[in-house]
Amino acid sequence: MSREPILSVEDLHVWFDLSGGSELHAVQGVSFDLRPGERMGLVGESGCGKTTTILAMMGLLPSSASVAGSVSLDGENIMARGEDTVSPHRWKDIAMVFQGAMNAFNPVKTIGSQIVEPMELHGTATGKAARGQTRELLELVGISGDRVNNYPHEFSGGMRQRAAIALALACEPRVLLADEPTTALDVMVQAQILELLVRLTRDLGLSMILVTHDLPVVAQVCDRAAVMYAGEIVEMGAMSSIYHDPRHPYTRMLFGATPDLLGDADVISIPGAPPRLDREIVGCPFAPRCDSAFAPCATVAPRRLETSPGHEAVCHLNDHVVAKEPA
Amino acid sequence: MTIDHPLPAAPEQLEELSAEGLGERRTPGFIRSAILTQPAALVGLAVLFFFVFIAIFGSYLEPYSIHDKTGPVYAPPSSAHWLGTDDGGVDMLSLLIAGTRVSMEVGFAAALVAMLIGGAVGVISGFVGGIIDVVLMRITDIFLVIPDIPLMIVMAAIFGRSLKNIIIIIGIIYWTSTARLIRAQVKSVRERVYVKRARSLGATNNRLVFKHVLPQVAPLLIANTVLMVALAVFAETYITFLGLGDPSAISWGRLIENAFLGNAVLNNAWWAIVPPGVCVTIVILACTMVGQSMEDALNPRLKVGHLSVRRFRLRPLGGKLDSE
Amino acid sequence: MSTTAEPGPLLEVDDLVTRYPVSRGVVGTLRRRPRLQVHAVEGVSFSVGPGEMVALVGESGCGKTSTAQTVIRMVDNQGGSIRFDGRDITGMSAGGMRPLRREIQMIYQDPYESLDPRFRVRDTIEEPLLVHKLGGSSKAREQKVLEALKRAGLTPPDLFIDRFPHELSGGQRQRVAIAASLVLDPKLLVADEPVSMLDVSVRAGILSLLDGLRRDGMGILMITHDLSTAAHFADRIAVMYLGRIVEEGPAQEVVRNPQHPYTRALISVVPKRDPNEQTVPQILTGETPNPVHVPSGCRFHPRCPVAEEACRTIDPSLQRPNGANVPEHRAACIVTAPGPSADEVGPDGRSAGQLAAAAMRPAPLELSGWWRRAWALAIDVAVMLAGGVALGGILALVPGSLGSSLRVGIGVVLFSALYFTIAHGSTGQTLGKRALGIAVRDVHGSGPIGYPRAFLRWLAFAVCTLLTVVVIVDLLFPLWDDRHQALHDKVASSSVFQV
Repeated sequence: MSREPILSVEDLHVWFDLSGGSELHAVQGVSFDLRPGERMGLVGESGCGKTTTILAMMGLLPSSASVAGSVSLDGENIMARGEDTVSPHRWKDIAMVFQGAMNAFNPVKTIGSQIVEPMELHGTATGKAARGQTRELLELVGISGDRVNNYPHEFSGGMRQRAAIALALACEPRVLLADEPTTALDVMVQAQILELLVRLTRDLGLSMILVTHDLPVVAQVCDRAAVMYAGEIVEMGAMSSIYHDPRHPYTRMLFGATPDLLGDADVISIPGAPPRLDREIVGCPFAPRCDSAFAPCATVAPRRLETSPGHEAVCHLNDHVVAKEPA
Repeated sequence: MTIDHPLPAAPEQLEELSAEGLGERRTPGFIRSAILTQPAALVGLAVLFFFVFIAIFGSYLEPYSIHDKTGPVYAPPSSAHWLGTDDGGVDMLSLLIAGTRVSMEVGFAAALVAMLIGGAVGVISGFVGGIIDVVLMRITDIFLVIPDIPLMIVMAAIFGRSLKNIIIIIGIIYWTSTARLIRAQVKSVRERVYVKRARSLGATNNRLVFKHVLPQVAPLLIANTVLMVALAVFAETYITFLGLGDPSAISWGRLIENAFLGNAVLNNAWWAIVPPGVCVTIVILACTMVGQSMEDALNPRLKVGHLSVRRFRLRPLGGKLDSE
Repeated sequence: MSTTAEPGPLLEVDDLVTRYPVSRGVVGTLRRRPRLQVHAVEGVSFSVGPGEMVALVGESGCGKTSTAQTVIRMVDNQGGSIRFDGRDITGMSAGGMRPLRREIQMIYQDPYESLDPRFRVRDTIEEPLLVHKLGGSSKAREQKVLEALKRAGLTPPDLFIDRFPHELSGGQRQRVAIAASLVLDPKLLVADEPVSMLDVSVRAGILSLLDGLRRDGMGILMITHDLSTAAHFADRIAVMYLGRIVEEGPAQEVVRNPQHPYTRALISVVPKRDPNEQTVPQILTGETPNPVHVPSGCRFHPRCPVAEEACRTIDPSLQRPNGANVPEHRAACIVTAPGPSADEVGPDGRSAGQLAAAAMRPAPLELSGWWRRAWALAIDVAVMLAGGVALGGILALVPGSLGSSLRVGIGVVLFSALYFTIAHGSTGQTLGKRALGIAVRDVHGSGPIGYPRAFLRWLAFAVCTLLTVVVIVDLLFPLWDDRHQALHDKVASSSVFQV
């Protein structure tokens, strides 16, 4: 694994226009790096902005959205001129497996034709070569190549999710964004899909961002994780680091609210609800619900601080750490 | 101890909205807000109110008596007679105003009949299901197949020509589409979790239908009825034009019929034919505008262009808009 | 195990069987495809006592939701029995169930759909009271509503009572649904995936609420696919697979000491919180088979990592495994939990005895010789003519306007069509064929009949219907008589056609 990041997101902001003139600040200054072959988890609950973040990276936001910040692929900012700079890279360098992908197939076209489609659209392969590659892709994700002419309804949910992954890999991207790929699946099928994703990242050298609300899934599959709350990343670091030494109360409380199969500890929910993002937030966004809030939390927004190499958090509790802002 | 905040998180809803398009979560009263915010709907409503007003108070507004000859035959529009006179010398404007009453009356009454029959059939068929559903749907098919003009002719021949019969005929012809629509909606609402929950509580079918299903179906029914008014007004017009209308009632269709029978075209008397036709058209347009905006509100997916290219906008780095 | 001294379990389910027919569609019916069934629940037994939470755990298609719906009698069962509070409620009518519906309440999975969007919170929670005509005056009912809101953790209740569902978050909506169930003071709560659609930070609150209700003496049957949740909150767990319980016992025992291969696999693949404590996942191949086609023998054997030869024919019952730590821990596996009474079951779920009986039925005769077929046809034609004339004679006596010879003709055609339809309907044997001992192929084994024969059947059926309608219409509205002429005259002379 080389040290140079393949994908670098810097200060990404996304606003949505709301009826009535106001705006929703859905993503508030997200920054992270992704190295080749790395699996990173983007964890958070509903409304935290994780899906919006990766949609922004793909340039798939509606016209009511405004984006600021940079998304650099191999050093080139693909956000520089909006759609014009994103579309050449879409699917060819960075591809996405959508939430509910199993239901995103056109029911009147065969799976094979739908996987060939992006190949021909983006010019990576045509005709016979495309069909051949489609078969190989299906085999790669664990579907028999003979099923290339089957229709979506002839596949089970798990198989369709595999087909969705094959679709994302159609143009041989280097970065795969997976949005809740296993949320609607049974736990055994989820295990199969996760194993597939891990195998793909290893064999193909893919980098992957796994967006999910399920912490244990990220713990099982990802090398690093970023925890999002109210549009920003509140903690990011290696998985074991985050679990054993959480530096943000939200991370700690989120683990505490997740039941562990064999654990004995009590499961405690987090009181309250996330803040509204159509208003300016003063101080730390998590302060109203935090069990360790103290004097500065309500009025001063905490800074992003690196508490140990590769581990950063946005919390006043870390202020005593040498004030070294991460690069 | 968990304390939930009373207000929902707006981002939760918008995250779902932005990620997967507009969903089915609609608040009660959205029809009202849909109509009041769309200019097309407001214009349509205003026009309809105008015509209803004329229909009710028209007799006070007629400048001349509609039974007497008050001007020369086929006189063109002038300051005395704004829309000229017809082949009997009767003022056209007065006739038009008088005709509004009958046309509106028949339109609304027939739409009401169609709505009542169609709504009842749709609700029963959709809710009860089974053999009753099959039988009612086959009956609906039979009525769908009946050709309207021959039916009108036969009905007029057997039962005579009167306003009541026209209303009944129009109602009979047009209730089927309402029935189908309502049936589909009722079937879908019946499967919703809150209806199942009420049923598992032990709620009677009456309660389920009147308290849970009907309120969900009512907006669709109303939207459909508005569009039905347009159809009914038009139907009345051509029924009367064909000579099957009530001989004693003056309606827009009657005026057009008279104009043809009185050779208005040969006399170049456009003012005898065009105004009633224009009125019919305006009413239909108005109904359509209101009805369409209601349907759009009911099915938001119709409005959002999911197939349009998603062009998000860029903001300069570090720039936030002043409006906050 | 239940620790209270209550006299008996609230809910006792014994050998429950629920099947749903699979629709064949028009084409399937025409081609006489065999009627298939979804074997949703195939012999499930468990009990829930007061103050106890039992979790039914399994993946999709295992039958847990069908079990819950059958238990609250929203769906009819085809076998087994359900006893609530000592009373047998199997097959009870809707009317008989109504008073019981106060004592059994259900919580649904989707908090966004389980509340009527047009009802305020007050109306939703008040509805059960109105349905069962309880609660007295409207003031008294309001008190109960406020009580229920408090019990469900929505305090202060005045803040919530007049809100609409769209103004509440998912967790709050679920609490409203729970409050609506609590207002009648039920004894048993059936919760179908109560938290799976809620955020993680909110789940624990709802589950603790349910736990609190349990401690107050309520029995709770929880349906969930999430083993971790079940392990944390339930007293007992029953793991289901394809309509059967494959393992059951105290929650902690089942989760820490699983005996059934399926349970072991499930536990190994459930992700753990600690990234360093991940178990090696034992990923099973394939997916859960369709409950329409249940594998023979042990349902799990096609995917089982430790399956033996015997597993293909033996359908194991729940036994105490050798490795169990408590007597209440049972698993249905002959490999890990061999026990005294394992049933020998063959394909189609028929036992050995039934298989033997089927083998003794005489093999179908071969169709022999055109001579016999000709005689059979002659008998059939004779029967049709005789029956037809008889029917025609009866029809001739019925008042109507059609001529009598026409009626006899109608009778013959009608009878023939009916005869043809009915005869070829079930076994394909007409009287003639049976009289001459000509057997037809066993329909059950030979697959769907071909299109031509199916079409003829439907044609015959349509003819029957049409003729019957004609006769009835003629009875009520004479089709051909003098009145026809009168009507014709009336229409022709009406003012409509006068120019």
